[in-house]
Amino acid sequence: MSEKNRHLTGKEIRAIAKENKRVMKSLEAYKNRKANEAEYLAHLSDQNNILEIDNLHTYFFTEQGVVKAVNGVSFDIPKNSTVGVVGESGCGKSVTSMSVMRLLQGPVGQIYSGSIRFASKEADGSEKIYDIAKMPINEIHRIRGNQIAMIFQEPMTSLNPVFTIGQQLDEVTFIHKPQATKADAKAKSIEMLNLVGIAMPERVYASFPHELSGGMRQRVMIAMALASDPRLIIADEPTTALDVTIQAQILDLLRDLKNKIDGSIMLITHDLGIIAEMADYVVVMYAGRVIEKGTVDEIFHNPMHPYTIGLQKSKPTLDSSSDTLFNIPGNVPNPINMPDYCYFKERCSQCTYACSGKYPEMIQVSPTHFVACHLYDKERENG
Amino acid sequence: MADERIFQYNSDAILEVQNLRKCFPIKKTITGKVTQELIAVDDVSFKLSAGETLGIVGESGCGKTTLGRAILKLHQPTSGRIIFEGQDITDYKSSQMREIRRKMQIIFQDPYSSIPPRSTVGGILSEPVSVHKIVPKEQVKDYVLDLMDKCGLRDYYYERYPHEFSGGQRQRICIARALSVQPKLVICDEPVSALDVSIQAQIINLLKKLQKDMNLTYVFISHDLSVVKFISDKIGVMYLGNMVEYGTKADIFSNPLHPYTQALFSAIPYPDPDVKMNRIILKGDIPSPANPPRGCRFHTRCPYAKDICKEAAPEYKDYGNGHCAACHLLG
Repeated sequence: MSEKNRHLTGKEIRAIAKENKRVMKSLEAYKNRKANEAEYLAHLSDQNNILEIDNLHTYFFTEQGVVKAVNGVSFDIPKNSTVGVVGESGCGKSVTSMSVMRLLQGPVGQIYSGSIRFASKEADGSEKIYDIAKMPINEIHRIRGNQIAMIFQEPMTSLNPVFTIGQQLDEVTFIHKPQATKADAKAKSIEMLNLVGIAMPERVYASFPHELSGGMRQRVMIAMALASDPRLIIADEPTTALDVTIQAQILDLLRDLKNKIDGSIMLITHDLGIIAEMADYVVVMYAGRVIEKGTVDEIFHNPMHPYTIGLQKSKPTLDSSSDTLFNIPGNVPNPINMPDYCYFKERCSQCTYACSGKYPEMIQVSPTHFVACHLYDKERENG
Repeated sequence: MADERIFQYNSDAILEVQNLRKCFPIKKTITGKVTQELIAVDDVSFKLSAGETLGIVGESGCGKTTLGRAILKLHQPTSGRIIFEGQDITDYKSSQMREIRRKMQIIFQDPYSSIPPRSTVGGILSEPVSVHKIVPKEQVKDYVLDLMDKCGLRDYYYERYPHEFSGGQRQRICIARALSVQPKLVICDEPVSALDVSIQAQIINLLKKLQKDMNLTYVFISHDLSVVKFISDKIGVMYLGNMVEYGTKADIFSNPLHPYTQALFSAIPYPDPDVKMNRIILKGDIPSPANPPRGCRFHTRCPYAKDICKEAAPEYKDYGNGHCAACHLLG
């Protein structure tokens, strides 16, 4: 403990800064380069997917060392489905979504390696596969906010307080459809406000964010995400800041919209209840890695990783009657200088000799169910 | 009006709240006359026995935090009575409160902002002990170390500063600080809502264990119904300053009477994909507490609202076994 938490010496800090500067410079140059389209075209491994994240590494080059916020994450989002990403704070679920949107705060935050393949729909109706991780940053606007839209956690702070809702909604249309007139944009904005169930769209269109309640602002955020007809919506904790009864309204709306817009949703949350209700596929993350993924039935009825099991048991439900809650001891490990062995080892009650070895690989237990844990090594050898 | 009431001291009730009301002025004239008020807590009454836990649930802005603070007299109540251990403390001066404060403590929601960043853990925990002279001076350190052990803090944390700890550990420090003066009543104001699920479970278990060991009485304020259900013996549901329903845990959960309680229960996402909840989705938002609707405050969102609900405020009545609710539909 004391060894890990010791302060860095000046020499070490300078060495880290020098190394960071070198790496960040080359990554920034790669990000800002001019490139032919051929350079970032890719192929999907399955035509039914809309997004494939493959071995993504996103690092933050801080003064204390490299934080591997996302450390080899892979999962797919099939068309017309909801994928829930669940994990505790600091597990890298938001950073994954920021990487997909290329919204990482540079030069500190960088996609280090890996690919994010997205099936983009071109103006002529054909599909083109882009590798978002390799795209130059000035090309990304063709996808970001247009084909992939994002709903943020804090509806209070994600709207601009000095512009009306209408101005902010119209802007989306103007940016992504340059030939649109003012009337077109307004019509589209009103249509979107109607779609998200706002009772008096004309009045909300003319009001400022501070005049609306939290639930209404979140509806406006959703309307804004929908204004460009996205194929994929990333909802990053869309209801965490809201009350339960308002949360129920927003979740109901999202479910409804998914069917209407014929797209996919990547839903990031820490609430297993929301995942059970909304998602078709679940990805469980821990300390920057995917530790288990599968369909919602597999994860809830047959959880395999000790962390997934612990997480489900530690949440009190309305019909639990036991006297003490199950709890996972300890804390999430420090993100700098992660160990080589399984990150969950110190908190795990079932760890074996193999757990001190190298980090467990993903083991396939059914066509859709994967788990990264040494407990299931045997099953892999057997079949 | 106050002299009409005769206080009957109930020997098992450690805390009794009678018709508590707290208003905050919003607008004042130039002479200081209040022209508009925000009624944060309106006519709340309950009784709590020693060793029990009262869970208070409600959405943001329903007055649950104000209620907790008014019980501690961190806010002076506008009207109503607070009786703690048989003493009517409503009109106590701050010098008189000092002795009472030792017996009633609070744990705040945000463990990041509620502990002083410049004191060590040892300093944070010893200060209340020496101020209230709980133990002789030379035993303070041993007492604090013993307390830290009870709260799951290692002894070498004594010299550490708060910034070295994670949220869960900080909340343990807050709990240890509240318990350092050997209180009887602890108000827990959303103690776990800033924490992750796995850490939440640790803190809830700790609170339960300490309650058993030290015979504490909790007022547990939270917006998370599943947590409240786990920890409470009695539950009060609040909406816009009113207590709309109050009763034992079993009564409230098996037979919720008020439509708001029913809607609140059905709104919680259930962590099992096979369970399809028969959800009651409330329309609209919570009205502003500065300008609450007339009649029953819930009528603007109530799926069963009748004409009478818009006119008259419903009476808060006992429907048997101490299960109280305020709704016209219940007759």
